[in-house]
Amino acid sequence: MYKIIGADGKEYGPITLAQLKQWVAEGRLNQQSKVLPDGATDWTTVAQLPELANAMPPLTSPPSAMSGADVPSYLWQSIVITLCCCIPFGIVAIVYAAQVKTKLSVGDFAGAQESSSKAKMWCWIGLIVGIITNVIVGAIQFMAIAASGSHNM
Amino acid sequence: MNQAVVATVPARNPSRAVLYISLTLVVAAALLFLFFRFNPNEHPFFPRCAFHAVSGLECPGCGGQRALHQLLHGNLGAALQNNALLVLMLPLGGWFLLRYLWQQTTGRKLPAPFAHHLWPWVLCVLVIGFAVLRNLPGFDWLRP
Repeated sequence: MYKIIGADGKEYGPITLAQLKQWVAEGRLNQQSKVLPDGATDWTTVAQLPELANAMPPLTSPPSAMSGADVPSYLWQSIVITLCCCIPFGIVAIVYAAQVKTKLSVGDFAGAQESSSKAKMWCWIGLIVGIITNVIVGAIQFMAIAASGSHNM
Repeated sequence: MNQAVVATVPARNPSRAVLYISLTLVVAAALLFLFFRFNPNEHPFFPRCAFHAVSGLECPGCGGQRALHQLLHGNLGAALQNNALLVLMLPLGGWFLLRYLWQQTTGRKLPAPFAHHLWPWVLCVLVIGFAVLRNLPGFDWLRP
């Protein structure tokens, strides 16, 4: 059971851990709110309670990527696009993919995220334009083969 | 316990990972068989490079299918002649594919070479340089 001091300076409780988490989740308490766990003699803050370590909503809205592992570079996808679709868009995607790694290495997560989405966008453009042009060229060549009756190209 | 505010980390679904990996392996095996059995030079059903058809230039991927065919028949020289860049990068790509599959199935990570953030730029220069060089006079040995 816990006693807490609300934003109005008044003491509330005792309340259960579930209730405490509920109040944190609802924003009625924040990390600086004073809390007195059962059996403790000193008031502490919500942020220092180990049992609430996972329950704290972040103070600010979470950034789209918390660490480098969450930012895909789309490097291999852009290489495959470049080599298979034979379209210069793949080169653009590779450049953005390389930017992701470089920006991550200096801790620029927002910049890396931006480059990552651009790499993704150019991969998709390359794939779609690649498929369309290949289908057109393939159809023209197929008609040429059909017209000449020859299978040698 | 109140589960309202628990950080949501999507649990990896092992059966789905196995499904994807099996599908990948089946498709890869089918493609390898096609490229082994049929010579792209002699059969019209292989996709042609649109960039080459339109411009007459060799793109960095041109000759890749012929290179794969030669490689599957053990002709390393002919494979390099068709597309040196692709043949030289295949072992690296194979390693990263293996590393990915290994991580998905066992959860453990194999070493990742070329992890430094400057390597993608080297790769970028290599691809563009290869594309330019193989279209210049005097670099016939880079053309399929």
